[in-house]
Amino acid sequence: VQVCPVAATYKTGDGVVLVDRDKCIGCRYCIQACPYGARYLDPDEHVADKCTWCYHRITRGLLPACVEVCPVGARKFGDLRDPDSEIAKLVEELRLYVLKEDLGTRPRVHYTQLDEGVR
Amino acid sequence: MDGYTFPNEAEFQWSILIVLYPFITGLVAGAFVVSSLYHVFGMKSLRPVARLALVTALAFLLIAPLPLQAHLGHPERAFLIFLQPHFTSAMAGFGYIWMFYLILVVVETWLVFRPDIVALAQRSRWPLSHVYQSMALGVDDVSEEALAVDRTLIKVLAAVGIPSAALLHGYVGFIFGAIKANPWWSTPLMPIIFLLSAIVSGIALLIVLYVVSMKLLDREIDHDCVRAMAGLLAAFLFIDLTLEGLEILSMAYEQEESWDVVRGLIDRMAISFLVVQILLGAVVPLFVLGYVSLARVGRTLSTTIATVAAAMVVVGVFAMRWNVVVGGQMISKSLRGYVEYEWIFGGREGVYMAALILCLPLLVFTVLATLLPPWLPEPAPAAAPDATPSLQPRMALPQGAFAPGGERGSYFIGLPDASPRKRYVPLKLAVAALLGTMAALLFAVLTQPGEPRLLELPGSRPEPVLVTPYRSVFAAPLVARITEPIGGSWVEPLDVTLLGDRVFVLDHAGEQIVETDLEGRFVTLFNAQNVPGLALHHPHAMVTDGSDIYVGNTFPPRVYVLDVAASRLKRSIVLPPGEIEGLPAVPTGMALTAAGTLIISDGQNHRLIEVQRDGTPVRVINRPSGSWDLFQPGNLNIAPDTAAATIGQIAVTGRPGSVGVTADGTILALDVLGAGVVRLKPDGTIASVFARPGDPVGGVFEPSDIAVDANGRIFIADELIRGIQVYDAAGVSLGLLGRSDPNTFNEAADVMRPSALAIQGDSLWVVDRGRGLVRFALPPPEWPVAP
Repeated sequence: VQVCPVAATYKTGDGVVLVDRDKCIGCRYCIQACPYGARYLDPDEHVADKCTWCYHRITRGLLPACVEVCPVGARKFGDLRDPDSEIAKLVEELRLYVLKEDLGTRPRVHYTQLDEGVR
Repeated sequence: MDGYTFPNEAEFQWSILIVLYPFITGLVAGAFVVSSLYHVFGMKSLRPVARLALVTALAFLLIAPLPLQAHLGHPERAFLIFLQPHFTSAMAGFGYIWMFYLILVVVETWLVFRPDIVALAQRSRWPLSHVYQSMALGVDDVSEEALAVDRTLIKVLAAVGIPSAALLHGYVGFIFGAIKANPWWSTPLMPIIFLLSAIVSGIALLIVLYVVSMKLLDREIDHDCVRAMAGLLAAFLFIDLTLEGLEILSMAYEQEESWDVVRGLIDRMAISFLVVQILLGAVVPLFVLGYVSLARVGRTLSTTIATVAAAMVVVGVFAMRWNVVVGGQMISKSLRGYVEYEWIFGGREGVYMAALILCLPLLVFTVLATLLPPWLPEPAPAAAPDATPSLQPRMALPQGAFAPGGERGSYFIGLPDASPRKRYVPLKLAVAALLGTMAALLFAVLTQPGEPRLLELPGSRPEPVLVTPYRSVFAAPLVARITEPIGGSWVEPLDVTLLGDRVFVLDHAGEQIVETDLEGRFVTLFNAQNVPGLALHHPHAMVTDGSDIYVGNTFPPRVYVLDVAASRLKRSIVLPPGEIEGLPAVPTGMALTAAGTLIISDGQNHRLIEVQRDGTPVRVINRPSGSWDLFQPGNLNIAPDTAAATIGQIAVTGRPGSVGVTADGTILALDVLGAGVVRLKPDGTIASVFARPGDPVGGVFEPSDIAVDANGRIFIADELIRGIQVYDAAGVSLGLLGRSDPNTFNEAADVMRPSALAIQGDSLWVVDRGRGLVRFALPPPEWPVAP
């Protein structure tokens, strides 16, 4: 990730952005630079943190917990690189929206039926 | 908080320490530029402050990284930014730029003061003489040739220093300007605005420092020098103000999407931005300084006015840093709301810490100025037209200047025109005040509330107690876990009952009764297919009298009496409907009394029904007063007024769930809504209520089943606290069964959703909904002794 002065936060090969908790110095520059307000400072360990897409689960073939428990199936998760995956087909078929694309963030979180007022 | 903000924005990330960082580096850059204006561009009117500027720059530069260091979540990892910098980050360069600049300033300061150091080394007494000798680094050649080389070097360094100063502070502006996510920061003008405000603040600080120092030292002020600095200050201030105005103007005129939120921010910062930064910190001083520079006013008056104006400018620049750093964080990334700044005073990131760090450069300055008095004007170079024709090696320091005799103990030595008898009372008072303030601030940092603490002393921070540690463990070893019957299956086990070595599990979703042996091996099934008439649909409860099993079914509501030996349905008992609303009686809990009657819980009608085993009604126990009646203060999170308004409804809302009967005939009914256990005498009158959720010890919250063992101990399964609360016969808590640490939910539990209990001998059988059967061995009755 561009703004981290010690490269403690990085993108894995499968596209998930994670934080190395042993390396983060807690300068919080990434928190300031995140246009989505997705990051926060872990109040106990004083390092930056964010949603990991349940990396411990998805690397074992499970879904992220929020996708798993959603009672109405509003959340979908999958590998966009696999054209046969459900998520790739949904992205193909549905009219989807992303947030703050104009900032060059190349977002991978798609929303359906997004209100224009949402930022 | 106002408007729409993201949850993570509730916490303010960059505190007042990050306001200090650009403020202090700005003062460094500005002071250095003043010294360079003399050394490189030969502005001779600045000669009295050229050395002062260098010492000031050095003092503030030494402290510049401290606010950042103190602010890091992990200060001990700060070295990583040097060892493994990630150069795509705007922040990664700080360490290197700061280090480079520090070397430059130190070398230049050394060169400028070298003749003084050599002279002081010769003239001062032990131990100071040793200090100066080591400071001279063995270079004691102060011949004219050597000094000429020095001057050339100084000129080169000063020249290199100007772009370096621009880099140092422009870079700080870039750190903010490069944050595209923040419309208040993200502008290419940011580095230039930071740079100009840095120069402005440096010049202003020098004016104040110079005038105040001269006053404290009782020395003569060079009014022309002050006037020159005031002119410079006005010029840079004008450019700075113009750029800042242009930035806001272009934002206002372009009216991009973010303008609404920025305009709102300016409204919110009316005091610190419009009044302090713009009006008092720039516009008023600009007019005053312009007046002083252009109009004819007395020298002393003009110096006084310029000093006051300069002090206002310093405050204004501090406000500017504040408005950038704090203001930028007040905007939500949603661009639809604002976050409030939270004032924290104590701790490592608090206001007291910031004030302490702000005092530090003054202390460093005092020490430096004591060692290397910058009050003497720098000797003019021999080549300069106005230079004294013959420059003696030590002419900068007139003989006798360092007479230490009467001056030992005074703060500044080597004052050429200072009479040895001067007491420097204001100076001593000022230094004492500085030290006192710093000591008080340090005390405040350490003692006032604020996170994180400066020093994490063992025991200095008590661990926050989130759960009152009131539950103890009822230690019953887990004997067996039967997730699925061996050789068979169930869908959703809900209740269990035992008949000798036969285990019957009521499968709610499977609409069947699964029989296994004690080891969990599948034996047989009872359902509508193999037992005619056993139409199980949402069956809820089971009880056995030793030969038959009574199954409470909800649709249709009735009790099936199953003869398991013959695998046939003996009869179905239809219970009398409720007297008030006429609702059918739905059996949700059942228990067998010693007399052989059935106590059936009819939650829907808020009553208990006692029937003979053949179905003949015996009596109905309607809500005894104070029993399954919700209107008990503190039962649920219902505001008193709401409760009062709906008292009519609430009075019929509490309902009995599972029931149990003790050996002496006492009926124990769980109130599933009021949560608690209602103890009824055999005649149906209420004896007591215990295990309320508000009880300090052993309350239940979502009780699902109750069982009583041969020793009178009462077991209540609770799905919310994921365990089984155990009580003695009197209702005194004996602890929680099923979790190794009852005070936390972090540890894995033996049971997740205990929905039913059955006791046979010393075995407690627990149905864990979705997880099967769990069997615990109950400890003997003498253990544990109730407290």
